[in-house]
Amino acid sequence: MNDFIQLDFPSLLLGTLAALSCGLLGNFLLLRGQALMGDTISHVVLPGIVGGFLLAGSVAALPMMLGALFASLFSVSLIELIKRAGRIEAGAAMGAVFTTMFALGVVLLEQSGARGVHLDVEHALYGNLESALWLEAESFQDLLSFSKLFSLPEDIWVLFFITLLVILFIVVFYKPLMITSFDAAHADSLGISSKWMGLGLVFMTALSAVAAFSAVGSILVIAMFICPPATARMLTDKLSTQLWISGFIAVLSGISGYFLAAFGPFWFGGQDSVSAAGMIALMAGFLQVLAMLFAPRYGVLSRLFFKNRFHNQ
Amino acid sequence: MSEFLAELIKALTLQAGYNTSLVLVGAALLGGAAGGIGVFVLLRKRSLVSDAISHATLPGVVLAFMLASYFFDDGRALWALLIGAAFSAVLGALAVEWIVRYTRLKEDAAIGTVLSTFFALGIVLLTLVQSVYQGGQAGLSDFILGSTAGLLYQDALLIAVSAFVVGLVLIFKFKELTLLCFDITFAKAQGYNVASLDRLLLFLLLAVVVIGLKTVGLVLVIALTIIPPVAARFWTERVSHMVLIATFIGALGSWFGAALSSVATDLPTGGLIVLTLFSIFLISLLVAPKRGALAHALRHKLFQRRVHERQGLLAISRAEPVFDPLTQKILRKKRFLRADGAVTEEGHQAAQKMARDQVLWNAYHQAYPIEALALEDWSLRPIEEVIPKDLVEELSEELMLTKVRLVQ
Amino acid sequence: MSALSKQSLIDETGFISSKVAFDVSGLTVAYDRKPVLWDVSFQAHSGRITAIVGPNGAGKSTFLKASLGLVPAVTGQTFILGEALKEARKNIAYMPQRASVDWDFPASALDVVMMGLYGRMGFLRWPSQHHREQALSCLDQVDMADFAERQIGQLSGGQQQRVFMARALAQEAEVYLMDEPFAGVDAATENVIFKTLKALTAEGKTVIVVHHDLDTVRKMFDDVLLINRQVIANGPIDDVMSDEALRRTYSGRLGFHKAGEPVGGAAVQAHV
Ligand SMILES: Nc1ncnc2c1ncn2[C@@H]1O[C@H](COP(=O)(O)OP(=O)(O)OP(=O)(O)O)[C@@H](O)[C@H]1O
Ligand SMILES: [Mg+2]
Repeated sequence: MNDFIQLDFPSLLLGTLAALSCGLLGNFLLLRGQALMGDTISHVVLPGIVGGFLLAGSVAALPMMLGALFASLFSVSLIELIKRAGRIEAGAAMGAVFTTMFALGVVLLEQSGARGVHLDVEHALYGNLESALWLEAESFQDLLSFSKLFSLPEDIWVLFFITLLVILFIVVFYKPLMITSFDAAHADSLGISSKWMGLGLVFMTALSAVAAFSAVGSILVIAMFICPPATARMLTDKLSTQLWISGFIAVLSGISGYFLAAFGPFWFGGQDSVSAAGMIALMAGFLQVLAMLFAPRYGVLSRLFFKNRFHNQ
Repeated sequence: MSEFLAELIKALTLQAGYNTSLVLVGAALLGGAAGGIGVFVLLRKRSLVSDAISHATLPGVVLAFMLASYFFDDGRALWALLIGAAFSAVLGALAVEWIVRYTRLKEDAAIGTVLSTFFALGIVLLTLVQSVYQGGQAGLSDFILGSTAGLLYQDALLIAVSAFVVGLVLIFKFKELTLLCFDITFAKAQGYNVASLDRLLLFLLLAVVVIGLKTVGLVLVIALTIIPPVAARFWTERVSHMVLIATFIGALGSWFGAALSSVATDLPTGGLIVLTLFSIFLISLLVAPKRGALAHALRHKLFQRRVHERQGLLAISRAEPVFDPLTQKILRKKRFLRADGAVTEEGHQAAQKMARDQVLWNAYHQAYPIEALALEDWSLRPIEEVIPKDLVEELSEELMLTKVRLVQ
Repeated sequence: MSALSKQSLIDETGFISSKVAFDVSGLTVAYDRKPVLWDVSFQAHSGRITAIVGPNGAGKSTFLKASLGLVPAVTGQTFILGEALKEARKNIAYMPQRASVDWDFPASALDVVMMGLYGRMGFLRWPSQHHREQALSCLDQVDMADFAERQIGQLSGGQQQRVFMARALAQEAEVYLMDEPFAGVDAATENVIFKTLKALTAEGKTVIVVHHDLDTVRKMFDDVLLINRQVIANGPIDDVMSDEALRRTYSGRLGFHKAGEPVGGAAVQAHV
């Protein structure tokens, strides 16, 4: 049990928080047809993180985070510029920018690698969830002790506050987020600026992508921006319900994915665990497949089933 | 530094050894083919499909490695890995299509789902392999970032030949693909099988992605299919020119990037190629004469001034005051207005002339509405500068006649 | 000028009773250098319903959007009841052309109508029971109360249009700008929307409607703005809707088109 609270619990928490913050924001990206914004941002933060590291000279969280934020905002502006100036469609503009920024990150990384520091691309892609430790903890009772909780890894605290911030953002801006996503022209005519709301959403996306990124890697971030909202989308026609479901799905994939990765291989006689970030993302994808097939109203199989029954009557 | 340059030039001119030269030629062929195909993909508005396809290759690569290690004892045979990659990429592409067609989710969500789920599966398998084949899997993660360092002679040949074949198919199907992107209804009416053309395009895209995996890696191969076409878009409006330009940009950027990485060996090939491509793109974005940003901004500024001057003068001709501060400023600069806002003699004359011009333009708009609608300079420049002289005379005669009729 | 249109402009004492509620001056709009609207000035009066009429691509939608600042204009200004646009947002209800939204969006008819209330609701305020009732009564005015909880994608085209109408009603504005509310709707819906608009004008509101069906313009509207890139004519319908003016608006196109149909047709090259 000690092992669990010291080794597994912090990773579990980290993965679940990352899943939750990205999964909630993803709903609005999905509804705006910007589902791939998460993908874009989780690639473009790489040069920002490496740049922040190179400037600060150490693996400190703050400069890397600032660098990543800067890189995301820079990229989003660049995408906007390319779209406007060249009348290029959004997908292509995003593709051009995120691949370039990622390339820049990779090149910078090799530079820093030459200086003998461990920051590598694999880490950036699938994170290092397993390295989160809470050695100060001795038992589950420590979860109730503030002084012990403060000794949780910094990453977890950062992500925790960002998740709170995301929830706050959604609660406060629920109305403008909804109206600008539904009918931007109408929102603008009311004086609710769809442009600023969109920027705010991108900023929050960047913030949670960055916070999650260093812990869980880009793959989990991308998956969480898309899969839980898409799953919820299959299950409901009400926005508030969709938000609840996506949050639930995110947490569920976080927990089940982590357990499968950490313990699953041993059940099958393996000796090592597999990538937890990868497994969480895979679980999210799996849940989405289930929803796409079996969702009561919009699932492919359910619809087939009902159609047949209808025909037989 | 000069030594570096000399080395670079040597590589660029194919004098840096047989292997390096082969890699360069392969990269250029690949870049060219990807650029050309990318144009059609861009015009079909499906650029990010390559994102899904490329990420979807990973589980195939790893599975192929496991199978190949089991059956041949050599998991690293490039052809086997590429076949695995192609196999799972096809599955990924099919999955995107399936989601778009049968569920309520849109294409962006479908792409995101497929790329993240397949890639996650790949990562999980990769970590599994790492624990089973301690060390034997080295090089598999090269597929994520690409590397030409460990490229064998026959691998480079494989890449060059396949890229060449893809290019050939593109040339032979050029007309049909152009039609597909330009006018899909017409293509259908002509009896082309649009669905199978779309599938061919997807297949070609898949081919370049898979071929590119080893050299530039699965993230950056996306760039090869997107950046050259987007850069080419700034230079021309015609599909055939765009394909030529994109092919050229793709080949040039890959050639140069690969040469650079053969000299700066510690830097990854893919990264250098993409950064080179992006530099070409940036130049296109800024300075291209037709659609470039600078030209665009300049034209917009000129346009704005013209409109303000014209509307200001028209207001003067109707004896209305000019309120708009920018209009005032422009009129003052041209000495049509005095500093106190009063209209000068020149101003009155110009206003008269402008009013006559506007009347003619309006008459033209009445008489030839469709032509007028198509005309960029309608009511922006003096009419004599835009349409033929005899037509202007005809219009003014008509106007005289109507006036006479009205008076009677 | 017919007796009817005179009546509504001038009251018994002979004074002009209706004031200018919507005032656009010198509006020029260009999408990338090609002028789509050229020096358009237009005024609409309170208590009257105005049709904006013109062929496809004439710039009708652009006129509404640019006058509300939704697309950038090269020149031009808008005043609503004497106020600049920025101060007057609350007094405008704008209904965009139908095609512009994602009908799969997770929102019910009631949710959509509630969005009409957002402009007046405080930023941090959550919709209350009172707001719900308000929205419901707007739905009721367009006979859609029974469909309040239905997801909007599961309504017919006409029903969707009624929901949008209810959303505009919920805004309780002074000036209503509607982009083709009658396009592609059934006769019953047309009737309901028309009645609602009439009721608004009876309360002294200003209603401006982009309209496509020339056959019904005379029946339904007080004033008309004929537009084709420029203002062709503007004023009470009986004064303005001459064959000559219509020919000038639609000049060069064979046959006037009906609602929703694209205009096919060649240039006639008719001279003035
Ligand atoms: N976003 C845009 N970019 C470029 N051109 C545009 C854009 N929107 C409209 N246009 C062009 O501006 C012109 C006017 O368009 P607008 O939509 O205002 O016409 P409309 O009168 O509303 O037509 P319809 O009856 O078809 O609704 C058209 O020629 C159209 O092609
Ligand atoms: Mg329109």
